[in-house]
Amino acid sequence: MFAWIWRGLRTGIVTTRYPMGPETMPATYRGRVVLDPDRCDPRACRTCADVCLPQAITVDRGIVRLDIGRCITCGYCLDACPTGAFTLRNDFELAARRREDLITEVREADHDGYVQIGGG
Amino acid sequence: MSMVTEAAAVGPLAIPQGIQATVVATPRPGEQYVTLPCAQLAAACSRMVAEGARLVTLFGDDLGERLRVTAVVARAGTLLALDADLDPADPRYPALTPKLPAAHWYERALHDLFGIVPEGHPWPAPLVLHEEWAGGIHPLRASFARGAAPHPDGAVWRPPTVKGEGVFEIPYGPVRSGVFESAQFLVWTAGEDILAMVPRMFYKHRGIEKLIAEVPLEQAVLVAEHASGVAAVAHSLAFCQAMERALEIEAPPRAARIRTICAELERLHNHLDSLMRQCETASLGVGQAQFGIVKERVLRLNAELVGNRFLRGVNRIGGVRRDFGPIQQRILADSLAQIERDFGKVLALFLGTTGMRDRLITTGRLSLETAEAFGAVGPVARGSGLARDVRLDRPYAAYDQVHVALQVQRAGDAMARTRVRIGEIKNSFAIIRETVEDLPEGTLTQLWSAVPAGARAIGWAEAPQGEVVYVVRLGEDGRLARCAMRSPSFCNWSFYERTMPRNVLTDVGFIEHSFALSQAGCDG
Repeated sequence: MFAWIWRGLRTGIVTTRYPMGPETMPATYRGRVVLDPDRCDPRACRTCADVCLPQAITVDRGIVRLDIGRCITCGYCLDACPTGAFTLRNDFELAARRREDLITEVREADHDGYVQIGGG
Repeated sequence: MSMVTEAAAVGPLAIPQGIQATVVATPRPGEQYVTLPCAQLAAACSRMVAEGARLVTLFGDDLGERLRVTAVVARAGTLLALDADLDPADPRYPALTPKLPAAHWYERALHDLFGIVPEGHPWPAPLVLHEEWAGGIHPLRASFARGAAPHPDGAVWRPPTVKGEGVFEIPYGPVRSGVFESAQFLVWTAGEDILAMVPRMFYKHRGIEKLIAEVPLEQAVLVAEHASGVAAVAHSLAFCQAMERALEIEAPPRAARIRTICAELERLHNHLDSLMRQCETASLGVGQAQFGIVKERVLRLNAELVGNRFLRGVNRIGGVRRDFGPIQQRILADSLAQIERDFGKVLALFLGTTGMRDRLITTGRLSLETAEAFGAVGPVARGSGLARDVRLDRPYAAYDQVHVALQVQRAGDAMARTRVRIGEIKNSFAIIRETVEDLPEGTLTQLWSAVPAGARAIGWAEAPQGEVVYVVRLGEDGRLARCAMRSPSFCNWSFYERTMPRNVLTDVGFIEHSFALSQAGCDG
């Protein structure tokens, strides 16, 4: 038993200050998927939706909808997107207080361009 | 007690005399498909098992105009799939279970999922489908739409009971402390002694075998990868290898090496988890924390190497999606050395703690005979003297090029299973080092396009819990027509309660963590 106590004391504190301080994941960690609205044309393409197993990405009538509440961070959309509109960040704090905050929509706006609603 | 090995049995696996079997296909060496009358399936299987073969899996298939039962048996690196066609109007066949106890859960599942009746089954009670599923609904029939809501028909589950003076019934679960997966264990005790136990699983059956056949093949890999969260590599690897055999392609040598490294990293974090939980159950707080630290280091290493703590996203049909370049190789070498040193120190304390050993020795004994009769796999089988490890029996990935040290213990108790895992942790460190040292150059994936309709294949991998098997049949539309998944946890849960009698209630935790099975993998 003393050996265990000695081992525990020698190890010291290995827990981090998180959530009091930041916790960084490796740069390669697949966390939050982000869609760049400037690179996406949901009127012409639905490649990402076709490869998305959990249907986290849907394209309907020119609107692309990304729901990270359903995302399994497989990264298939990154590989499939012809314009490279998706990125996976190492951010792992994906929780939100409201369900709709997990959803990003990119749609055609009144003016020349796209607007992004929510999330992101 | 003798040691029984699959590989030690001599001679090729052959259909016993007197069985009217016709060879349908021999797509690859060591893999054959035969068809036989359903009346002879039980006799054929039990005779082959008597001659040293092992029942690997038993599953149904709805081919539209007919229903089929397929039994897969293995011996000496050879697999034989026995198909028996059934009358769809009255699907029944003589059950295997009376002579082969290993078939008992498969046959109950066959009835629930396909409506196939194994005649003569000693306990034909529902297994997979609980009471909210009305009788007559069989979700793996082609006519059943995935996602259709079950509805109850008023039937009530009546478990067997044990009655007597001073007998207590304890319904433990399905919601249990901490983050245990859902399972119920009905335990009957007299004082502290356990009289009997009936486990009830399948609370979270997700219809994986139905889903996997509905999605494009590349996405099917993800379904297999999520069948059991803690065995993402083994499940996706077994599935990918089945697909590669069906598509007649082979993963490039570099991919085979990366798969081997990841499979061993997965073994490390699972086995460390088992040791951590043994300490937790013994209230050995420092031991729990220390093994927890080592396990966490492995998970963080995983995240750094492939971007996911549980190594998801590595396998794809034809190879791998992540490379191990010079940076990853260095990280792996450095971190592994540190992890191995820390593990060695904690292990010495663990083995030197009398109180810990006392709780494991003679606890949850599984005899060699029971392990063999019920088709045990993985560390549970090896802890009871069965020399059974598919990395050696039927090598895959790069396992034919590395030194896998078979870990076998004879005692059959929780300590024996723990010693098997300790040996395997040490061996995993060695395998990873050996594999990463001379990683061959080259591509990561062999491309494929044509999907041969009707092709069938079997894929396997030694998960930390034991052998996982996927049997695939390709359809006309470039997707899967049938994918039968058999997880090691399904095999080992099926006889788990047999280790209980002659133990006391406080032993249950040690037995459970020495089995170290996955619920999700079993539920399917």
